[in-house]
Amino acid sequence: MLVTAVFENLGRTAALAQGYPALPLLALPHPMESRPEAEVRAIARQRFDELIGLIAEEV
Amino acid sequence: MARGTLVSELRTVPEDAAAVLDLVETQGWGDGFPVIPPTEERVQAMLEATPLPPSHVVGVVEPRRGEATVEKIAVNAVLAGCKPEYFPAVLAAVEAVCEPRFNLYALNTTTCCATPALMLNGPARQRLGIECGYSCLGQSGRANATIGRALRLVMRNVGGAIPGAVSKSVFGQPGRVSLCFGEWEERSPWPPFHVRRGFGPTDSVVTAACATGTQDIADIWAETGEELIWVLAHSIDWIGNNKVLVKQEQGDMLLLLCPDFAHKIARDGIDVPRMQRMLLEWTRAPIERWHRAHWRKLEQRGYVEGNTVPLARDPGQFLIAVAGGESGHHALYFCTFGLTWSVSKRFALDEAYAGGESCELPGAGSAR
Repeated sequence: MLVTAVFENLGRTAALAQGYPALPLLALPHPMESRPEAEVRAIARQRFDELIGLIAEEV
Repeated sequence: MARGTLVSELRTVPEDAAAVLDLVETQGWGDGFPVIPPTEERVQAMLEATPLPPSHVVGVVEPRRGEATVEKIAVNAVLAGCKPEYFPAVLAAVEAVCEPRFNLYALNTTTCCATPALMLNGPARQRLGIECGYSCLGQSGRANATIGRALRLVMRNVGGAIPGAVSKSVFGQPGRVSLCFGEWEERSPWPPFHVRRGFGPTDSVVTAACATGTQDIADIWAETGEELIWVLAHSIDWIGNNKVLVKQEQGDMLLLLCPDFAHKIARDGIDVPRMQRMLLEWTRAPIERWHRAHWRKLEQRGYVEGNTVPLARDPGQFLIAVAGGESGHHALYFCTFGLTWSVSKRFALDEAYAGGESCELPGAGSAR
């Protein structure tokens, strides 16, 4: 699950409520939508491998 | 007579009211205001107002997905200060906000200050003492204050909408303590709101709409209904309106007219459907209102039509009702945060609540 940092608690609450307490969760910087596109792409490149690693985890 | 065995944990609490409030505050069960301790006797008295068993699940409250059983709702209704006779309205309100098209998950977690605005129609208003006139949105008595508060406490204690941790509302708002009122049907020139939705005139109905706040609209100059609707339209089409941020065909918004305004509009032969069409047309904002840098973003989202940005796509997205005092000069707009469709539920006081009935509405299933 991808969230921005301030929504990390909410993400964990939602995962728990849906029966996935150990759901991998990647917190990105907040806020995202007001950043320039180049900056968003840089964050994506920087965190991509981490995201792929989490997706590959067993839940 | 007990309505059934309760399963909630029993705690010993101090008798002193201030100590009770301290405990509630420490546990995070409240909203900061004093509460009535939900003793077993008081909860059982609340349960007398419904034939449903305490274990019956009225709805699943997001985002925690807590089961709002009749018992848990009764506990929160006692905490809020409800009289037992209010309980059917509280149950119907909880059921309404738990409908998927109300999209409680979004409302309970958004950065916006949105909250349910509860409007009651039908004979229950008189039976319960729901204020529809002067100051009906605040300082207007126990029924208005505690029915809305009971819903908010269910959202918090069952749904987990804890400010900061789960609810990301930047500011919150006073309506997040309670926001409940009645339509003043007897002072409206049009059929009551619930009748326009397909319910019977003698049905008691609670409607949950979405309110990011209470936006006052004042006017003393309009001499015709058309002039007045122009004022209303251009008071709700501001560019920072949260409704602008979501798809225009999504969500509905409630506009309350004081009786004087409603009669001024009706006197000129304008009925509700025509007023809705006028609002739809006149809330198209010229794109020049936005900074030029935002034009591309609006266009990318498909929000631009000609050189305008419509606020909505269907006249039915503008909900109209009549309430407020007879001193006139004011309307009140509940701006939606856009991701919610209002939901109406019928409830009964005589035969007691046994599950709400709702009517078919546009937008069902599209709230997310």
